[in-house]
Amino acid sequence: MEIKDTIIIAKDFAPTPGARYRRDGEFSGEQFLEELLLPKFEKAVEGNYILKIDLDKVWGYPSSFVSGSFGKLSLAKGSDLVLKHISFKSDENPIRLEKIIYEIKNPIKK
Amino acid sequence: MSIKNKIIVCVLLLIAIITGLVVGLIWKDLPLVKFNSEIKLIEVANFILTMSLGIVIPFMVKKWIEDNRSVKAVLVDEIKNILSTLNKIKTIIDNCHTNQSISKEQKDEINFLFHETELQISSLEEQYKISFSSKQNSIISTLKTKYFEYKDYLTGGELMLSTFTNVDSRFYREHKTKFYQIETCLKLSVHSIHKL
Repeated sequence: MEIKDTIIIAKDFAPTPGARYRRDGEFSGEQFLEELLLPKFEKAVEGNYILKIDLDKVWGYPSSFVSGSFGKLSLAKGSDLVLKHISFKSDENPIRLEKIIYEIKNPIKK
Repeated sequence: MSIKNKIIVCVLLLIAIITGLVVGLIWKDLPLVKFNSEIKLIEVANFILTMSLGIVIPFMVKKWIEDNRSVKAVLVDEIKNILSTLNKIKTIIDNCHTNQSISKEQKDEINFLFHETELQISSLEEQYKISFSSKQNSIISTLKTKYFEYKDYLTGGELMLSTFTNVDSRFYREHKTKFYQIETCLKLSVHSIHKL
């Protein structure tokens, strides 16, 4: 499968990701999931291609943001499908990547 | 030098000594080299062994010990740097408790300090892998588990809510407990590295 779409979080969403839900404040994981991640992910599944997510150039990823976006997507769609259609790029921070993949594989219901 | 390489060097040295002895024995009747038949083989072996030890101990064993010690010192420094970065987060929380307020900028700074900590942990992990590839990576995995627990506590809960604008005594106390857990884990890692 080839990469046909990309989300650069710092540019397409925000350089300062926020908390879990919209009610928790701006740039929440829920907002990211509903406005960017889920629509693009569904298109990737439909078109059978990979969606690349660039994690670099942000201030940091709060755990609640990761859980509210990638964790929620994994709960809804299943970790295997998510990891099949999403590839991550994090040249800056490999631990960040590790944490997000762990969250996808072990999503917590909140 | 890894343990595997050290073993290879030792075996090669032993082979060289044995080969030398065998060659010496085979060539003993050549006219160019005449051996004194009064000299016992055990005395020659003893001489070679003494010479070998005289070379191996100062040049190789001492170097291995010093290399190992300096690698551990670098790893310990990396852990100290991680602790220093996490201390900056603690200072922000302490100041916010004193001032009875926390701003979005301070929360962003906390997130950035976690990013910095992750870069330091990643660097530590890479260096550990290079120097102690044969040993179990339990020091790093324990450290990462404790680190994620601390990070999840601070950035996975109420602190990140926009309505959370005051670091009250309860949060301050809870944070202190979590901080000392990760601090203890880092200090224990230093001891574990020294024991490697």
